[in-house]
Amino acid sequence: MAILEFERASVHFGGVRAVDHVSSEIEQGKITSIIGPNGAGKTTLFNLITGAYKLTQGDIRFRGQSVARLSPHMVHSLGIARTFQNIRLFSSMTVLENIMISTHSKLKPKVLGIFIPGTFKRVEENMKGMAEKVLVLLDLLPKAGYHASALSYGEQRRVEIARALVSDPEIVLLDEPSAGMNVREAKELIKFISQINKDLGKTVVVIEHNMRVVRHISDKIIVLDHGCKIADGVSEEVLRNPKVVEAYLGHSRLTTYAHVR
Amino acid sequence: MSKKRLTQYVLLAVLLVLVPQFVRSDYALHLMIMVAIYGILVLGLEIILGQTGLFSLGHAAFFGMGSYTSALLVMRLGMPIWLGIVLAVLASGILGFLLGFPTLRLRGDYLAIATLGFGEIFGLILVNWDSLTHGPMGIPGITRPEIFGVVFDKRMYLYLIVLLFILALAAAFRISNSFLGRTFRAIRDDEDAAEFLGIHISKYKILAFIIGGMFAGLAGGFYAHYVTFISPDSFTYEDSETLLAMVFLGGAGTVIGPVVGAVVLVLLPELLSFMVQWRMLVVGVIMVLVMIFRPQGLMGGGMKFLKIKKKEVARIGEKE
Ligand SMILES: Nc1ncnc2c1ncn2[C@@H]1O[C@H](COP(=O)(O)OP(=O)(O)O)[C@@H](O)[C@H]1O
Ligand SMILES: [Mg+2]
Repeated sequence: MAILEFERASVHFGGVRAVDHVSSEIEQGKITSIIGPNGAGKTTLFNLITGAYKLTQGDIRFRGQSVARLSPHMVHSLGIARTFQNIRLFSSMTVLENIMISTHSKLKPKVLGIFIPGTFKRVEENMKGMAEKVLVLLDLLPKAGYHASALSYGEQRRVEIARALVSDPEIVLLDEPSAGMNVREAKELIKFISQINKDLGKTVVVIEHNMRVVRHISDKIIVLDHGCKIADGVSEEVLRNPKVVEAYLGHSRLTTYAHVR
Repeated sequence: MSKKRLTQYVLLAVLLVLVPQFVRSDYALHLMIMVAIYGILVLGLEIILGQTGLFSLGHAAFFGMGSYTSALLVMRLGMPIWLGIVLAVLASGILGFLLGFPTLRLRGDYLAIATLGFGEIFGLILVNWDSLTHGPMGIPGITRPEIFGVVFDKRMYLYLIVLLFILALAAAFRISNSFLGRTFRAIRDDEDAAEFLGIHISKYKILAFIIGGMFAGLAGGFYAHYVTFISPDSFTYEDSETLLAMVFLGGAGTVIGPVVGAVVLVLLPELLSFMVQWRMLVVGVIMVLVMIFRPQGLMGGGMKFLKIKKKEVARIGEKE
């Protein structure tokens, strides 16, 4: 079943057609990869889903309901959480606090409640409990009290993922989660992404450059180039598609995609 | 509450009750009262600027709103003073709401300019709305509070304001330690990211202005009935500026820091009163030195305030 549908989704910035007439579907409970060269419009597509930009044309529907006019926090509370390509943790806060922030959609805490001793304590413990659960999942519990900026790059990426998971969303959007990770970390990430898909039943959409990761995890691949969708479908088929090979290899043989056969 | 905690509180309370009894000089009592008034004021700015990172240069307007509201309600409508002060808190909160709305789309410098303008407009209204505010002449002879038929003396004022200050401080700490404070700080660190994580940032920014305004309203309400004379000159840009300096001197985002800033900046000019012409220069030099050697403020921890995180991440990204 399609949980997220793009219908001729487009956004233009002046003359730049960052995303242009993209129609496709994200299947519920599956892992979908979005690939394409730099500047293809992948991140922009995430920004459209999460309400950061307004569509110039077309529509995006989550469970049949248009999300085109919603602001980001509303999209989040519908159950679509994301990470950022360039890590955006709150630098003055601990890892635990970073993750607790993201529980609002779920708990909808009341401001006046903080002055009622019982309520204050209950909300704090709830938030903390939820955050600690995902920290365990991501093997980050020992780092809970650290300042986010004191963590390694790979760990910071994992905190971002934890922050996306804590609100128990329907769909998790991961923007280049393996960027800056070493080989071991990337391998663990593959395992982890499958785990949140299989064990937690999350629908995962991942923007990824590492073709090993893409091959391993994807049920479906969507390929973008210059804002347009040039292919989508099952992994192997898409990666053999001549158009896709050209998008990657045609322009520059020096990119890291050279190992795409 | 643990037994140890309880004894600490009791000791502190006894101390707070006893100490003023031994202070003989009215001048010393007055200084303590002013420290407490500025302490409450600055806690409000700490919520807006220190916690939420909203650069507000119009805090004196909230202070003035509180003062004028209570003074006018008590003088014109004969309301009891305590009710006047409660309504002063509400009025300043509403003013915070009104300021919060139009500034939602402004960031950084633009927000600073807008709040500066807001403060100036408020001052102009005080000056020009003669029929209500008495214009530049101000309002003299504001009613003093009394209790059991006894009009307040300096010592009683001190007890009252210390009580109010403790309440304000407790509220500020509670806010800072709750999800509300975390949300404010998330907005300060990266408001766009916060919005993507499910936080209705517009709501919380306005809330910061409302809460900050309410603190200032409380200080203002008390102030009017303490000095018994208020005029537009008491709530100018310079006061906003001083409050800003208190926040940064003490350490923005630390709650207790700005209070320390208030203590220093209220007392220092007085301590230096023997060198009248030079004292503000000395205060300025001290400010500059603190900013050079402790840019995070006297009470600031390792946290670098207002440092743009994105740059830092970009740098890490390059290394990889
Ligand atoms: N807010 C914006 N304003 C103008 N151009 C933008 C904006 N966001 C993205 N773009 C442009 O859209 C194109 C796609 O960018 P992006 O989605 O970041 O690519 P990528 O596939 O590498 O994630 C780029 O040419 C980029 O410059
Ligand atoms: Mg991108």
